Amino acid sequence: MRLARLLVAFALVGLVALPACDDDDFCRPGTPCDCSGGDECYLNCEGTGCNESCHDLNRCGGICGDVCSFNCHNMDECSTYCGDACNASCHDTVACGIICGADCDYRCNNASRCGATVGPGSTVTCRGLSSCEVTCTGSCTVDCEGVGRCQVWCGATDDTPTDCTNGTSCGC
Amino acid sequence: MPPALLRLAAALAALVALALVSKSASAQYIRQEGKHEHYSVELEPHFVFGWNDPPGVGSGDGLGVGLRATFEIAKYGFIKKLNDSVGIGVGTDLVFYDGSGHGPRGTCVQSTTVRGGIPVCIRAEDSGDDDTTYLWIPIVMQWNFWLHKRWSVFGEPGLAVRLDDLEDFGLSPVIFFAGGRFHLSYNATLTLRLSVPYAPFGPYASFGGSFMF
Repeated sequence: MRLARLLVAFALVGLVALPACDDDDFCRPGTPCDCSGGDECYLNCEGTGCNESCHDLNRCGGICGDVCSFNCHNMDECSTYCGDACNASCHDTVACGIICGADCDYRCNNASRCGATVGPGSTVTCRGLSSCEVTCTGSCTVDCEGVGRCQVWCGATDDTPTDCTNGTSCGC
Repeated sequence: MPPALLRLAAALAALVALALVSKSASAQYIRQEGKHEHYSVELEPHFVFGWNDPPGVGSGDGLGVGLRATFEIAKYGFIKKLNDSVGIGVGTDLVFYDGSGHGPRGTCVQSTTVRGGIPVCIRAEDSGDDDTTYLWIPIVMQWNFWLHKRWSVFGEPGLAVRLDDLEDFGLSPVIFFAGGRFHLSYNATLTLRLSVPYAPFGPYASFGGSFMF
């Protein structure tokens, strides 16, 4: 009887605790979110004003909203996916890629390949690359220097890219 | 042997020593059913140490503070002719984990490619900085063994509700603590507790005082 009473009491207390869902997104606007070392890392930050970075790993991706910054370096593959007015850079990397909204500023330095799809009013700066290939979905400026092949497409359906290889600043 | 195991071994050794102290006197005391002082509630503020990854998204070593309230619900425990008792313990621990640098790194669940065939991840899950703060709410049955008027030990099976990084609810459905008290007086003790909530889910130890009312 005593044992039964104890077990019932314990079970009742235990019912207080019920499992809940887990949502583990930790990068938040206004708080630097950094990742380094290891194999890969994909950072996700929702909202405006995120600050993400990653370095010294094999693959990394930064996803953020408007007015965010993302910096990555020293890796094989780095990708950026951000909203409007984002500020991103990628250097000392094999491949850099970005898709961003309007008015974004992307710098790609000292890498093998750089590919970008940027929104209206954006600026892409490429330095010291084998190739820099940019698709602009509106007006844009592309500045290439020390790039083996620099090409700009004005729109996703543009079949005739503008060649910006010779250190000229061009765009759409 | 890794430092974490050494610390665990040292703590366990201390517990064993604690349990074996004054063996003959203990043998008398432990056999006197209900011999210990009755109390309604034991309040135990303590420091918390975690030396490995906690369950959930956190990682690294932990340091924090907590409070445990244990209500004695049976002065006479499960075993007849033994000085044991049973309580229900509910507590809260606020623990800061410093992150291992290899914590929540996120996974890319959707990607596309841009010019040059370069992949761009457009949707990721479970990402972020790996410094975390946890709020633990352990709920346990405390089974006490009153070895000596100065010493007692206990085991605490139960569960723990967690607020991982003070944001996401989690549940550790099976936890177990083992601990011991040195009784400074009839109602004040020093208490050491080791856990297995937390191992295999992540180790934990607490040290503090307690006051019985």
